[in-house]
Amino acid sequence: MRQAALRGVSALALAFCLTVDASAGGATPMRIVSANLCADRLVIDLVPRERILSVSPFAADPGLSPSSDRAVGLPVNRGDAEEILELRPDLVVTGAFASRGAAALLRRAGVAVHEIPVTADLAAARAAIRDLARRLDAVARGEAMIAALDARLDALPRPLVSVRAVSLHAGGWVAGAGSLADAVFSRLGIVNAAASRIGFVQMDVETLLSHAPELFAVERHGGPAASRAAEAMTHPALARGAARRVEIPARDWACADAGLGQAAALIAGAAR
Amino acid sequence: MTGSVLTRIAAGAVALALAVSMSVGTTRLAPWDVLSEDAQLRALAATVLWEVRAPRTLLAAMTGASLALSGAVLQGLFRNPLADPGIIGVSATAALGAVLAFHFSVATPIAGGLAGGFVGALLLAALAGRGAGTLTLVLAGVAISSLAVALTSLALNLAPSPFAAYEIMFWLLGAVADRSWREVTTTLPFVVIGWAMLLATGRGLAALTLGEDVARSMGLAQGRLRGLAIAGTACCVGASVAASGGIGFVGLVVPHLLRPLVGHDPRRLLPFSAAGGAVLLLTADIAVRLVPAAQELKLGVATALVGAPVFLWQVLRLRGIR
Repeated sequence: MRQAALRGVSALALAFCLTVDASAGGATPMRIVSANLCADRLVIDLVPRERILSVSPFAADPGLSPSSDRAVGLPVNRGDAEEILELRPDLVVTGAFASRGAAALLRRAGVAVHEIPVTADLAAARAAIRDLARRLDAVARGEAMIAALDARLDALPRPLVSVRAVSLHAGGWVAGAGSLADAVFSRLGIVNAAASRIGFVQMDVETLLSHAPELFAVERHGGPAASRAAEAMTHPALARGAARRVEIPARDWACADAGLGQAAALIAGAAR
Repeated sequence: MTGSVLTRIAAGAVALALAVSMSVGTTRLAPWDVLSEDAQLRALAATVLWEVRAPRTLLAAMTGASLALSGAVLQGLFRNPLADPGIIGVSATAALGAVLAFHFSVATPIAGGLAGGFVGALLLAALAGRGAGTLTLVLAGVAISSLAVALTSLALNLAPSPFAAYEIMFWLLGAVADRSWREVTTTLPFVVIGWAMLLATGRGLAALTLGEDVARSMGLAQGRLRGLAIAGTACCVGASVAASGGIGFVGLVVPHLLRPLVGHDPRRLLPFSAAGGAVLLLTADIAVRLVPAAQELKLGVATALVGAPVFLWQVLRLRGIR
């Protein structure tokens, strides 16, 4: 009984391997599953809707994705290996933060998985978009996306006098050197007041103020949902003194894609 | 030691703890920087001291005093050395109430904390009714506590905010980091009302130390005493937990440490316990700021390091008596 069941499972796995191998050899993927918000945003912008089998539950949330309108009605997956295998995709696009276990299981079952890396600067962001576009056989659209982002960043005004800014995120996390926010600041000619720290660091209000920021770029999460993490950004001490404040919708900071252009535009406007 | 000397020592200890708490922070800013020549440093120091350290310091003192005072009252009321708002589950139900109110935007966290505190205290009084043994009280508390913690975790997982699920640590272990005057002003009235009710139990608890029958013959209204103790605990613990999360062991440790110094008379023990609780929690909060961890330690970690050994020692002592 048990052996029969095992044999059944391995036969099933083998069947998956065969179907996947037949289509994975560099051909244009036609059955794409996106298992992560940032993957959703890029995939939806890069390929026609018919080629997308399923997206993450966040893809259709206008508070999280600028392309949410085009995700409405697409089937949704929660990112676990079992339900993705059942869809028989020829490519699964996921992010480095998404379930590692699921990606490994999918690979072992012979499914092609493309992982979008975490990017800490604009060059890496461009490279990640280019890689994915090549894998999706959508090179021209990928290049257009990159060119549009660069053109938008180039067109933004630079502050006339030096401005020290911090990028403040839910829970008191601050973007130090080696983060996308730091890259956007330096592209705009703005000084990152937290540049002495590496990556994202959690700062209490006292430490944050001691970095003497003149501009707070505060990530804003849509909706009425209350959390202590969101409350951390409304401490009255942050409103004291002459520091300015600009709110950046969370969706503009969430991923290394066209959203960065929107975040940069808001920051550039506030830093003038 | 005479009363006036002890009072002076207690007042001095509270004042010292308050002063150190204002002087110590996560940056090297000191109180005298508000007099600095450098205008920028002066402004920064003023903001940090007044908007960041002062509310944190007051909240730690208020919370510590509330927990220790209610611990002393509950130990007297249940005549049980292990009674403490954390152990008997009032802190956990208060945290549950605050989580439900806050994360689902139903009411203010304070209102939720008060409601949760009352539910927990009443539930306990019903479960471990009059004359309940130590074991019954502690087991009922463990049951209420575990259920409330599980429901808090469930509520945080179901809460609409994606960040809520990560906030369980705060509700279980407590913190006063980056609290502001908003929390102080909303908490203070309820804490003061709770203190007044709890301090009013001193005479009744003193009579109760002679045994229930003697106390009754002395004309003690036990119903009123229980009512004051439960409502007072719910008020000040509920409001404190809503502002600073559930901090364990303060109510257990402080009265035990103070009894050898001030004696067993609740009329004396209660005010000294409040002062001792404030000092203990201020000290814990100073310690968590000085420990060089990437993320600040939660207050409950520091109090458990002191409190758990005292709890074990009490358990062993109780076993020795039997």
